[in-house]
Amino acid sequence: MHITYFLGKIARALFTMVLVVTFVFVVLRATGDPAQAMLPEDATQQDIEHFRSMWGLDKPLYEQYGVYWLNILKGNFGQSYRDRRPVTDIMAERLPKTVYLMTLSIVFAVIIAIPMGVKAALNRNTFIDRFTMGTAVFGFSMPNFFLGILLILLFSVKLKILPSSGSDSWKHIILPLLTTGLAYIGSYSRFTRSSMLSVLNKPYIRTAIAGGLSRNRVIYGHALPNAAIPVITIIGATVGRIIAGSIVIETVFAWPGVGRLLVTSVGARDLSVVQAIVMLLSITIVTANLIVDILYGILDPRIRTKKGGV
Amino acid sequence: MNSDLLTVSNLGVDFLTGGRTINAVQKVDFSVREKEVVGLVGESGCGKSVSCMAILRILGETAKTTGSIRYKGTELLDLSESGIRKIRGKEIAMIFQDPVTSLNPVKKIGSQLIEIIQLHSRLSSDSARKKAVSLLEQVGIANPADRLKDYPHQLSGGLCQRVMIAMALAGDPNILIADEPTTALDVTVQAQILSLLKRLNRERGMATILITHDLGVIAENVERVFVLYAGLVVEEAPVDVLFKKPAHPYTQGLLKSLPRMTDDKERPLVPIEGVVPSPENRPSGCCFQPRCSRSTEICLKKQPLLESLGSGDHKAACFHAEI
Ligand SMILES: Nc1ncnc2c1ncn2[C@@H]1O[C@H](COP(=O)(O)OP(=O)(O)O)[C@@H](O)[C@H]1O
Ligand SMILES: [Mg+2]
Repeated sequence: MHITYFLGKIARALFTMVLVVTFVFVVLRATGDPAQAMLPEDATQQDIEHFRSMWGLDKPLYEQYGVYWLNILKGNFGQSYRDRRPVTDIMAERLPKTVYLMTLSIVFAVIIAIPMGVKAALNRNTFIDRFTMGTAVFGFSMPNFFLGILLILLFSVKLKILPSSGSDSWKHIILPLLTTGLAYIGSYSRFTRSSMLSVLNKPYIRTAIAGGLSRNRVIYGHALPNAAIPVITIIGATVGRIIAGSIVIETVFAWPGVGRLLVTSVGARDLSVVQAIVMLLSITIVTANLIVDILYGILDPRIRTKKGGV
Repeated sequence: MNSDLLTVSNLGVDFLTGGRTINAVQKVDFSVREKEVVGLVGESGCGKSVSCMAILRILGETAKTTGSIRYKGTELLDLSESGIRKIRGKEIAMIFQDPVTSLNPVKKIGSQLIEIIQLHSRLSSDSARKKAVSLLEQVGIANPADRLKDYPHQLSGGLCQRVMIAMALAGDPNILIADEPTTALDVTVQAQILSLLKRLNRERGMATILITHDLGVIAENVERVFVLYAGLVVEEAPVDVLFKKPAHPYTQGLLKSLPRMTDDKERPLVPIEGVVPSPENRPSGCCFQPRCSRSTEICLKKQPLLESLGSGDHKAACFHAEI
């Protein structure tokens, strides 16, 4: 595949990331004062000034900005005002929790949604199709926080069988997993269905049937490999948005990952933490997009061979 | 005279889509004898493809097929799903109009060909590969072993059609249905594919149904011809009879609109006026009547049946057939 094509993409992605981080850097400082957010109500003027000089907040904005990037180049993402610990340490604790919840949701959704979409396509316009697609639209259009709260009301408050917050046991992951999983199932299964329907009308499917292949061979050996290509793009896009996607769900279920950390850190004006998460968020999106591009090339020989092989 | 290998009689096909019924094929009768090449000819939309796909029952669930399709004495319309699957590819194979899109774009030629070979014979993958190479050789593909590694989009239309033919040969069928096999190809390639089909018919004794809208293709390649119009067979004749003494006004019109090498420059090319009625807008009586110069009262009222004109091999569905 074209190296320059990818270098160009990476350069543009890096540029976007710098813009986003800069924007967040400025906005956070322009809209509130970390010293006031961090220190107790009765802190003296002296305390506040001490806090500011300790974190370099008394310096001009451009100087803070320059120092910030210099540190990053040295691998130093700053300290959390709140925890008095390096941001990297905090992230190392929080990130695995988010990755765990979100990848499990995606895997769960893929396992359910792909057979569901295929089934719906094969039974087009029957009860099965309407039922599965009804469920899909429900999962897709229901806001995460709302569905999450409904599930908490049902399983935690009313039935008292599942915990509503935290991450201490395997039971804790069930509700958040269901909530995010259902949304993913909604979008993956609808994609699988429409992709499958368009593939089933293709001449090569007729060839496979006319050649005498069994129904399963035609569906899983010939139709699905073609139908999967656009579906994988969609899955890749959600993988890229796991950090962004974790914000609401982790807040609703008090799941101790980076999504929730972002929300509390914005409230507390914990600048270094917010900046690090925003940077991570843009990096994951960019990386996932690149991976999807490469995957597309691997899965679709028409693209691969045109670009001269991966 | 050889006996019939395949007899299609009184075939009708309706498509039930969106609450409407589309009568794609009204009444089609034709037969194929052993080792014979027959042609189905007619303008686009007259039901050639649908009639042939009905034989293999690959029209999908919206199609309702009536009549009878007998192959070696077996009624294909009565077979179970697994029964008809044993006919597909093994007894009757089919190739299509657009060879490039008829091959799976994400699978290599080799894997598609070997899959079909292994379906029809219990060969190990090694011997299946050897057979794939030999089949590609038989259809005139150079460097067959290299071609196995190619994807369909890397090959030309003509090569893809050869691959399709090789796949059709994998089950060693008794009948090959070739649905406009050269329509999507360049003229020079057309001739090569047609001569390949002819050679395979000769060498393997494989009967062939050649579908085309081009009477020129029919003239050189088939023994008997069935002319279709609006989902009906309107004339049936041995090829020389059809060209010398066409009986149905539609066939006569088709011939008049056909340019010929041997033409004296005087003979004008006359297209048939009007258009083929779509399944939804068929006229009363004879379907050709609105475009016919010979039509009379009876043509408006009754649909003429396909009837023998003296010699048993020449039939036409016309009240005013020229004998
Ligand atoms: N799957 C389908 N659903 C509805 N109508 C169809 C379908 N396939 C073919 N038809 C209709 O049947 C008629 C005959 O089509 P076809 O056999 O493809 O014509 P041709 O002689 O050009 O091969 C056409 O009017 C076409 O629109
Ligand atoms: Mg056709």
